[in-house]
Amino acid sequence: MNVFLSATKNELHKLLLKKKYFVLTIIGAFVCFLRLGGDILVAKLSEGQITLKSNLVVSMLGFTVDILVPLIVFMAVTDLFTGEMQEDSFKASLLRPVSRFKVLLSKTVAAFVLGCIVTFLMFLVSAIMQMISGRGFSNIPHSLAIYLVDMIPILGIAVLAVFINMISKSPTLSMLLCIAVYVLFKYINYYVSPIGQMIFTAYSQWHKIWLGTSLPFGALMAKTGILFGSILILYTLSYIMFDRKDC
Amino acid sequence: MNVIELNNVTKLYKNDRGIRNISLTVKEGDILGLLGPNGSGKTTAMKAVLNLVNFSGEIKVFGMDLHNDFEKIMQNTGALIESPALYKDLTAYQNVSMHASVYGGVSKERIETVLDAVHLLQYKNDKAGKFSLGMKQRLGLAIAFVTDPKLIILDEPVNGLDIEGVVETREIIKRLNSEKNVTFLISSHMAGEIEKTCNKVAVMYEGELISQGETDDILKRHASMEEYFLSVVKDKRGGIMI
Repeated sequence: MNVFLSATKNELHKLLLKKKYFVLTIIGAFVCFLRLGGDILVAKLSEGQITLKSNLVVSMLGFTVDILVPLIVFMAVTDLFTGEMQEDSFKASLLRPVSRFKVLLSKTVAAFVLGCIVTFLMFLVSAIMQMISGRGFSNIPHSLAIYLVDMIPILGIAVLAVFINMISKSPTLSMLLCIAVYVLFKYINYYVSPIGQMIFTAYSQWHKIWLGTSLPFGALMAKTGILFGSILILYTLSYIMFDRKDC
Repeated sequence: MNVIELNNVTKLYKNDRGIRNISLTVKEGDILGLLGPNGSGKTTAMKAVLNLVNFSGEIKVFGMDLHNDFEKIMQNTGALIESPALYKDLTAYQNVSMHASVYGGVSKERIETVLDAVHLLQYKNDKAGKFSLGMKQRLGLAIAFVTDPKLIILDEPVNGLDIEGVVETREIIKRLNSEKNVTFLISSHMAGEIEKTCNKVAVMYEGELISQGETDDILKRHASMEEYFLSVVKDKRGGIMI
């Protein structure tokens, strides 16, 4: 377990040293600022006819978990797999007393944790802006619960990216495929709803089925099963390919 | 005690190159040199010992099966394979400490001592991506040595090093071998280097192990390691030399 934790810490450390994740998070914060500024501007121009949305934190959720975090997770996984393979540093992970199963898991978990960190930072930024704009903070605890629940499907996004990185040898191709597959799954989800419900990426805003709605227990379990079943299948396939990979 | 045992190990790539039915034993305290031309399968054999490639046959290290006990084996194994696997965004110190962190119990002093031994201590805060080929090679050696392993596998360890670096690397290898009884598996295409460093030699040619023996015995029968190598290759080719 210590070996796995050390390996995961190393992978996360490598990711956090890359400036691009910091820059993307700053851009995310700037989008939040623009959203707030836009709301205030609209309210002023309409002379109070259009009121500000009371929960900026939740209104930023779509951008965070549907666009920003998946993009960051795709980049992180690509950096840790095909990126390292291309620059010939991948062997370093395999020349340590860490089995391939743990290497794969540590890299996947590191990308997932990075996604969670960015999600939490976006929550903090939007919560602070909401308070500064004078909209109060009574709904902040509920919003935090929403963000925490929505962190779970990020694991599915990370595993999808890992699987794509097992197929591809080029970081550029991996990144393009990750985005293309993700967009395709989203498109299917919006336009072909019976299929969409069967695809795990449909649950990027997972709080909708857990908080504030009263879905039957069976439906909740079915959706949970689809998410974790998809993760398990993709991860197993990824491991089979990774274990047979020559480095 | 046998530190490394390869039994009928075969690994063939799509282009039909690789290694065929290699059987080799490295005993504790040996410095065994794999000698062969480029493309003879030296690196593939070493990669197989480190589980970096899939292979058929059996490999045991420290008496343990490579697949079943990989983590235990790697606890006592250091390696430098092909070009050093370095993270270019990390400093020299971070590269070594990141490797050492998985093992546990490696102090800052130990990391600095090893960096000093390869003359990189003054560059410890410089990013590895900015290093020259020789400096990268030295850093790769530091990573291989830092955890005080009982077995060290080095693929062309003096590649890219200047004359001083070559001599120093050889001295480090010999010192670790004599003082700490560290076992080495080293590959090189330079017969002179193998002659000066190793006490045993195995010659590889076109994916096969064609000859092996003790350096002293070989040098009794041949004027130099180079001559020995050329004679065994000539025999393999059926007396034809290009």
